[in-house]
Amino acid sequence: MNDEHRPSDIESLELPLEAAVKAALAEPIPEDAVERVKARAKLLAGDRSDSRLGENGTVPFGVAKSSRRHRWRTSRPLIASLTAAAAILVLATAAFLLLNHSGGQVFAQMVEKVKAANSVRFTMTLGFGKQGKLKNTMYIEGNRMRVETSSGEIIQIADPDRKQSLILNVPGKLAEQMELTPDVVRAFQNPLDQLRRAKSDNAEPIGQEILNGRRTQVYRLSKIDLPFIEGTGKMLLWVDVESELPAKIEIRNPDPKAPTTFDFDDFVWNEPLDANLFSLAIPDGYKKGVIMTLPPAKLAAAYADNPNYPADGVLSRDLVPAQILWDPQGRTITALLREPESVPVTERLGGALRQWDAATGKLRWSDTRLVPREVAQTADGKTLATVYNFEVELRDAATGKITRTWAAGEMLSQLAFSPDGKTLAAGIAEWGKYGGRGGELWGGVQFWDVERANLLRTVKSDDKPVQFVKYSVDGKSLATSAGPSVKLWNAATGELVRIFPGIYTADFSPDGQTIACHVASSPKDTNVGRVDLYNVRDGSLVKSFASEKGAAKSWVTSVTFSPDGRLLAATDWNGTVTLWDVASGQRKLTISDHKAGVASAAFSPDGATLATGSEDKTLRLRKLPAELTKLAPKAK
Amino acid sequence: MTDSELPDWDRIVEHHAGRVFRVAMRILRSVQDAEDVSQDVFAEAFQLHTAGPVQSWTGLLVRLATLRSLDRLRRNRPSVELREGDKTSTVEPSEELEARELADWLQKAIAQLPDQQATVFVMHHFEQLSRDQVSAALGVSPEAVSTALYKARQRLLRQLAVFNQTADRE
Repeated sequence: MNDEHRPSDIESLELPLEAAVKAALAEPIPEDAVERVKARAKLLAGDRSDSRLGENGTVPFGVAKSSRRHRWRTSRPLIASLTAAAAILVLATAAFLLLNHSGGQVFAQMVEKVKAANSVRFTMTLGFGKQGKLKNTMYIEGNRMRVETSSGEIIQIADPDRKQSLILNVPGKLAEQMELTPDVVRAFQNPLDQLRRAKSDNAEPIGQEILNGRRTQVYRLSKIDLPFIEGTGKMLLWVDVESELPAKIEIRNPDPKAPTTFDFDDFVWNEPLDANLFSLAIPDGYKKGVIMTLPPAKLAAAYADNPNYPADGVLSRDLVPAQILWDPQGRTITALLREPESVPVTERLGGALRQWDAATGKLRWSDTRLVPREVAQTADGKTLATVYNFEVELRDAATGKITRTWAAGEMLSQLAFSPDGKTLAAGIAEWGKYGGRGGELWGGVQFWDVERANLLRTVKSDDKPVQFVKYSVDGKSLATSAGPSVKLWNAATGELVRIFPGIYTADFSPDGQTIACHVASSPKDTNVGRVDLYNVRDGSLVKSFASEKGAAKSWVTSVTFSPDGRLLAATDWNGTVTLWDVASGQRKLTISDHKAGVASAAFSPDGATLATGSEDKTLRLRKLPAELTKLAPKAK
Repeated sequence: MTDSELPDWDRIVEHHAGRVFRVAMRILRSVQDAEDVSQDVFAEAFQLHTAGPVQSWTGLLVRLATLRSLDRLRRNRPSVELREGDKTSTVEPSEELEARELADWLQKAIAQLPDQQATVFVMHHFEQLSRDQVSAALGVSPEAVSTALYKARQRLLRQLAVFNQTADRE
């Protein structure tokens, strides 16, 4: 039952202590008790959907909670849905809270009027900490609602009664129909039920204000306790004295961890709304698709360039793409995503392995369980390998489902499939006993027979964890790096063939003749920004490539050849990606639109698109300028 | 959307139940108590599991198992009745009495360690996880693991010296 491996490096204990531990370990473990534990634990998952709800069955308003994880993982359409629900809640809460306090008479009337209102239109500005603001216009009639982003690019229409919603990307003429989840529907249907739990100890009239030429009474409520604002929020409410309807609402949650603001303004009550506003039919001229979240400024340009092919924009914007893989046909992009380096290690919540359709940007599958360490793909693109704790997992690349796992016996870092897909090379990320200063060899490479999950060979090569592993194109050699050297091994015999002065990253040219290495004297040497090209056969230096700011702080995180071998791309910690023409050694392009260090880059198989992943948590696709790809006609 | 992202709970249970129970059993040395604690641990883990992705199941579960077992041990006197019948020890019979005394002592001594030291000690010496595995599982540096292990050992050794002296006098 216990298939965990038993490493041999358990520190030895002083004798009397060892006897005590031995004695404790000698006591038998009743297997039947373990089975009982299993049976009971499995029952916990009995009703999964309900258990994800908060206490009392409230909807988990992940959008506004202080948890960073929830906020980032919430998709844009979901935010729109939830903000819609939140808006109703806030409106009704305001009414409800005020009802119980001084001046109740006025508010009783307001509540009745809010309840009786046929329709309302207002603007809603939501601010989440430093992440900027989301401004929307909202229309509600009955239960139906429509949310438009201020720029009018994204429209969401929701009909809780029909459990349907429609999301439109206006510039891209794309439409996506979605079913409303029961959680959201419940929030729409009965907000007042949730409000009964809302409490306010003091709602005080604090004066009158002329708002847009109308006289309003201003009330302050503190200690708001709403499902989506916990604790110390402050709320201001403006009630139009004449119409007795809310004119403006401001909610401030000063939680330093996640300052949240909700502003509702420009209310227009009981104005007849066009029924088409709530139509769930896909408008003429729109195609079905998946709505991507492109940055507003680039949205129009991206679509103008090629209306049918949105492969120029941002695929993902919540985690750092540490590795990007295209399938050999260029149809899908798989990325291993992790949290940014800026998040303290102890606060990292994990990462994800995701695959998108390259043409539409649609997410094909996602596995967020992954401890992000490494992913590798077979040359035919059908199988992925990942490292999860101490196990190697093989996945079906089409579905992301795990097909096989085996225990590796050592902490692994990097993976690489041999070109024939039969062998998996895995870098060993073990540190020696004395932090790697012991001289003993801990880092190295394991060679696995993929078919039988057999450990073919272990090569111990370094006193540090191996950080980089890559097969040569012909599969005969393997390059590894654990420090300021790139070692070339005979993949068949495990013999050390050659050492190149590179560090942590390298790439073989597609013709297999040369290897490009990031050159630095140590991990602290950040002044170089240089990539050198060496002849694999004799180790001679062929060429040096320097990035734009030669003297600026620079640390090359990855080097990649284009599929035809004419271009070489280097991603840099300074936020740039540099492309060189390999033949001439000239720098052709410096991409600097990432806001933080660039961690990964991958050319599409046709060489026309470059995917880059950055610490700014974006995965960007960009078409390379035509002159670059024309300059590099297909060699094969 | 989220359902497909949730790792298969049954698979997690199947994979880790033995370990969770073992940790609890080593610390509590009572089948009943260990079962109770294991169930609590899985209930707690399931809540975390539904709240978001878990980075290291081994780490989370072993940590929870250790801490909850220690909580229980410190709260109640451990029940000893179930050990009487279990004679399938791998320790030689002549050493058995001494071994049980030592195991009794170790149980009490671990309960007196600070949480982090106790957890690291249990993971490393009971669960035989390497320093790097412990470090990865707990999300602390390997150096911190080494330090905690060293401190735990020093403390246990000091207590063991006292224990032996007392035993000798008796």
